[in-house]
Amino acid sequence: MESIIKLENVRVNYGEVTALEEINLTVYENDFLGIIGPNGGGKSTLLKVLLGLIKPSKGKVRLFDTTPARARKKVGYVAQYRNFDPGFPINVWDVVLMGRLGHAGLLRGYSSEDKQAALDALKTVDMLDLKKRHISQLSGGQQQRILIARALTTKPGLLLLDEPMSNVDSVMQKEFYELLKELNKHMAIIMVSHDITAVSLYVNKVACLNKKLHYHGSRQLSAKDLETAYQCPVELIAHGVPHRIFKDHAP
Amino acid sequence: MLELLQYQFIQNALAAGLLASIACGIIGSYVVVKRMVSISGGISHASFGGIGLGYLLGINPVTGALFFSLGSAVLMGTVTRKTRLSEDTSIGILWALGMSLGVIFIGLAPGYAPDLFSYLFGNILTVPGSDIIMMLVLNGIILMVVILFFKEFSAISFDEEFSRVAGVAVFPVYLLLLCLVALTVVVLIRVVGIVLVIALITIPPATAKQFTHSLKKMMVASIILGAIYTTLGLWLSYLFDIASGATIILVSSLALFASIGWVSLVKKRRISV
Repeated sequence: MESIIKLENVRVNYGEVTALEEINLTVYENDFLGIIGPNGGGKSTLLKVLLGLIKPSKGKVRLFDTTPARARKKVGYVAQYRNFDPGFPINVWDVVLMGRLGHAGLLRGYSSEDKQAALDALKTVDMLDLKKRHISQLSGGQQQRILIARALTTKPGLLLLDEPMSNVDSVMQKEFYELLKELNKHMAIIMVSHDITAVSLYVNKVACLNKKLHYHGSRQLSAKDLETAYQCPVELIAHGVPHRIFKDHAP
Repeated sequence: MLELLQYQFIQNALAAGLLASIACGIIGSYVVVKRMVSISGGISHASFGGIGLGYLLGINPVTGALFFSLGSAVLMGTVTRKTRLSEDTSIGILWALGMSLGVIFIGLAPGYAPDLFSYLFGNILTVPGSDIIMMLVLNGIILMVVILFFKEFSAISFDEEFSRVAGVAVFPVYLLLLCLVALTVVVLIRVVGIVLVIALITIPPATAKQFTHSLKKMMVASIILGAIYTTLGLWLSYLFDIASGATIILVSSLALFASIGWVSLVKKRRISV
C-alpha cells in the first residue's frame, strides 16, 4: 500500500487562534477515512490545508509526493454547503465541465477530451439524463451528485468531501454512501462529517478531530479519544454512538 | 418621427444607446450573477475624480474617467480581497474618496465646469462623434476579453473556491473582470452619467435573468432589452423635453417592475392550475 498523504506536526493559526495543532496523518491509496469532531474543531480547515488553500504556520504537508498546490490536479473536492447561488443561470453540464478548468487551459474552450471526461463523470454518478437541467431544478441529493461528478472529471486519486450529507435527505443518504463505496475502489476518500453514526457504517477508518487529531489508522477510537476531542463523553454516549466505533473486529 | 434621424445628434444618440447596451448587457450580466453591484457602483462614482482631473488638465473628462475608473477597479479589488477592511467599508471609502478628488480638481480648474451635470446624470443628445469612436473601441475590447476568458469569468462568478481548486488564478481573473466593469462605466457615462450608471448595468440583466437559465442567452437578451430601453428613453426625453439619462432609467425600471409582476402572476397561475 502506498501512502498518498503525509502530514507531519502541522499547525494552523488564524491570527491568535489556533485551529489545528500537532496534526500527524498518513493516508493510503485505498483508504476511506471519516473525520468526525465537534463544530469548530478544524475539520474544514484540515481539508483546506490538504488542498493548499490554507498554508500551515508549522509542519510538513505532502500529497502525492509533492506540495498540496501542485497535487491539486489529482484531488477532487466537494465543499461544505453550496458555495453557489442556486438561481445562477447555469445547467448541470456546464457545472460539471467546470471541473476541467485546470486541464482546458486559458484562452480556449473545453476540448473534446474535457467533454468526454464530463460525460464519464456524469455516468458514474448516474445523472447523465439530467445534464440539460438547470441546477435549481435538482433536489439536494442530485445537486450533491453533480458536485461529485464535477470533482471526478479530473479522475482524481483522492476525493475530499466536506459534510456531504448536509444537503441530502435521509432516504437518499444510503444510496449516496453506496456510490461513495463504489468510488472508493478507484480512489482514496476523506469525508468530514459530524454524523458519527453514518460515518461509522460506511468508512473503513475513523479519526476524531478537535484541534488535535486522534487517529490510529483503523476504525477504532478509544472512549478516551472521543472524550478528549468532544470534552463531554456522557452526552455523547447518550446520543447513541455506535459501539462499533469503540470496539470492532479490526479491518 | 423619421425625419429626426437626419440629425447628426440623433444618429449619435442612437449609436451611443446601442453601444451602451452591448457593454452593459455583457458585463452587467456578470455584475448581477456575481453580485458585484456595490463594487461596480463604487467604481463608477470614484471615476468622478477623473472627470475633475480632465477639467483641471484641459483634456476630455471621459479620458480622465477612463484612467480613474480602471485605477479604482484595481484598487477596490485589491483592498477588498487583500486587506482586513470589510468589502462594503472599503468600497464606501474609495467611492467617496474618488468623488472628493473630483470636487477638489474641479475647484482648482480655471473657470467653471459648464457641462458637469451631463457627466453626472448623462445627456445622450450631446454625445460627440469622438466619444462614439471611444465607445466603439472599448466595446471591442470588452467583447474580445470576454470571449477569451468566458469560462474563467463564468467559473469565478459561479463558485470561486472551486475555481481556485480547479486551477484558476482567481484573483487576477477577478481584477480583470472589474477592469471590464470600469470600461463599461466609461462607455455609459455619456448616456446615463456616473450616478445612474449602476442602474443601466443591472436592470437589463436582472430583467433577462427571470426568463433564461443560460448566461449567454441572458447576455444577448440584456443587450436587446438595453437597446429598447435606451431608444425608448431617448424618444420620450425628446418628446417631453426631459433629462434623457433619467428617462432611460425610469423606462428600464418600469419595465423591470412589470416583468417581475408578470412572472409572479404566471407562476401563481401555474400553481393554481
